Amino acid sequence: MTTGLWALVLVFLTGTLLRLPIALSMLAAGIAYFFSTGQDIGLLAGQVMGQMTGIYVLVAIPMFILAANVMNASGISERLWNAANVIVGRARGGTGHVTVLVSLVFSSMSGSAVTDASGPGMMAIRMMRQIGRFPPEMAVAVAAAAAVIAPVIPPSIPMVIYAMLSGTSVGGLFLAGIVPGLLMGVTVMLTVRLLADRYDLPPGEKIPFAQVGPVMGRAAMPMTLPVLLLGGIWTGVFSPTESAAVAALWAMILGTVVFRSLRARQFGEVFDESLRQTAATMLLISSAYVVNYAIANEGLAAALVGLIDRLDLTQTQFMLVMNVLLLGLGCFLDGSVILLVVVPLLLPTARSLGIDLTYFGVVVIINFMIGLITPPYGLILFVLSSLTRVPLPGIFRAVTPFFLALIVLLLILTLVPGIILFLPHFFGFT
Amino acid sequence: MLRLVHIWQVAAALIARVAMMLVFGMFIYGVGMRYLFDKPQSWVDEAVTILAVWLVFWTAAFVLKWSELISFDILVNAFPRHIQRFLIAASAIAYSAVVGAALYPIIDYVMFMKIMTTDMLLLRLDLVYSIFVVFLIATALRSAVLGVRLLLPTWPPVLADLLDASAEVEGSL
Repeated sequence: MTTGLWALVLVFLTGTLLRLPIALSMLAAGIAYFFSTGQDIGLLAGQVMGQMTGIYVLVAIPMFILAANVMNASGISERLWNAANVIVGRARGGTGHVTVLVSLVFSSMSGSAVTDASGPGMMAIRMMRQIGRFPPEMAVAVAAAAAVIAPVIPPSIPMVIYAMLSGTSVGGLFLAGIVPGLLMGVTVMLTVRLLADRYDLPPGEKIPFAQVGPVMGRAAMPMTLPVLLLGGIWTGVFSPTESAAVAALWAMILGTVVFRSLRARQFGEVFDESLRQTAATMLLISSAYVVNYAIANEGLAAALVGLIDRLDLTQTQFMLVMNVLLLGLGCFLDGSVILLVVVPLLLPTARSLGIDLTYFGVVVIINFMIGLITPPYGLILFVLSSLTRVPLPGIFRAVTPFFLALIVLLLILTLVPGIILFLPHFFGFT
Repeated sequence: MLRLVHIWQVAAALIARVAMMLVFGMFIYGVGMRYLFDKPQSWVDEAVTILAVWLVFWTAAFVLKWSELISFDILVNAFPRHIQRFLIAASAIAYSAVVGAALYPIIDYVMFMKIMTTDMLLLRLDLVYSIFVVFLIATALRSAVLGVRLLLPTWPPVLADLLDASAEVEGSL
């Protein structure tokens, strides 16, 4: 390791471990790197601002966040909950299954696991506790496991970032996420069913047939949002960025004109909440450019390509090693750091081994989504523990069967790339 | 003094809210002109990108609370509170010192960028990049103030405000 790299790693780790915000730790590490390598420190501004102002697709992020927050504020969770209850609520541990189904549907409007957890997830926890007789830690575990599906089902903020890093198509990635996302939902539901016996969870109540039509009808309008958002991208009518903005506008029309549940006063709050989430997320992206510059400047990615070349790994062996590496890192590192710093390091190797970068991206994103619910550092678990006041140790125990089940699914998806690539290939994204 | 700080915080939040609305409004204007009137406004893409970048740095510098910036707190949480305050104060003060030392070459670089402009709107790049300098100065000052406040005898509410609110607002990955 060179002096510059030592300075970078040392400052970044020290700052992060001493609770300096991660973005600021990266900037300070960048300054230390430029200083120790004798480069112009002004390059910090050049890297951050030059990259940020040059990538139009990044502006999709605030619009995706805005659309999801508008839908949240419009109270669609309750409409989706009632419809999902009609479909899967009768099963044993019914409210758990309903939670997963609501999450799957909400995922098609939101690109963020945190938004999913703190919006529909919170409502689901209340319902699981009150109606489903779920123990508190189990209710939080189900909501957390369901929330991590959000960034795999399109639209997805991590996928937009990955597309920017790898040069892959956002539309192709969005298509590739659908089947794995649905399989994640089935996996979490199967786990709920298996645990329902252990926790002695009752089945849900039967919904009278006369209520089925009206309940399903009330959920139909929110479903127009993903149709507009994803349909616009896949038909090529809108770019992903434009599509996100149109989806936000449609969400506002639904909330104010159709549902009449969104008041003028709430608009300010929705914009405030969206800009806070936008700033926190995009600040991380901007500061990661400095670290990525250092990685490229030091030739680290090229060195890794050489190492893998010498080890003579096959595509499958590399993917399995990468899974172990990312799952391990996910236990301790923030997902955003993995995506923004570690993934650019791995991309050249994946490219040189001829791995399909769309398949690689989906596997990477599922990896770090599992990391969001893996102890000891699981961001979603922290958020839900903070919001519900359920102690973390109990949540850690309850969530274990879920992340183990998701790891088994990850292994299957890694070994059978066709499951991920079937849809994008079918629609001509090659 | 506190009243002035409060007025500034309210004003900064209002500016950020208006900027967010403007980003959204410009997007819709651009899409509308392109698809409804067949008059693509190519400057819109550049304008929303630059405005969004300004929005991010402005909000991070003046609107977000320190606890809202995504942090890793497992290690620090393992210590008792009277140790935590020294650890956090050390990293906060060190950050302001590092940025302070780097500020001159960064400002010099940004000022040098006046020789270049953006492609569509022909905005001078020193003006476009200047928000990054504002962000660095603001975060360096805020971290220095945080560090000093944690070292004063009145540290308990400062630390509580920082740690107890930290998980409530996170990024959006």
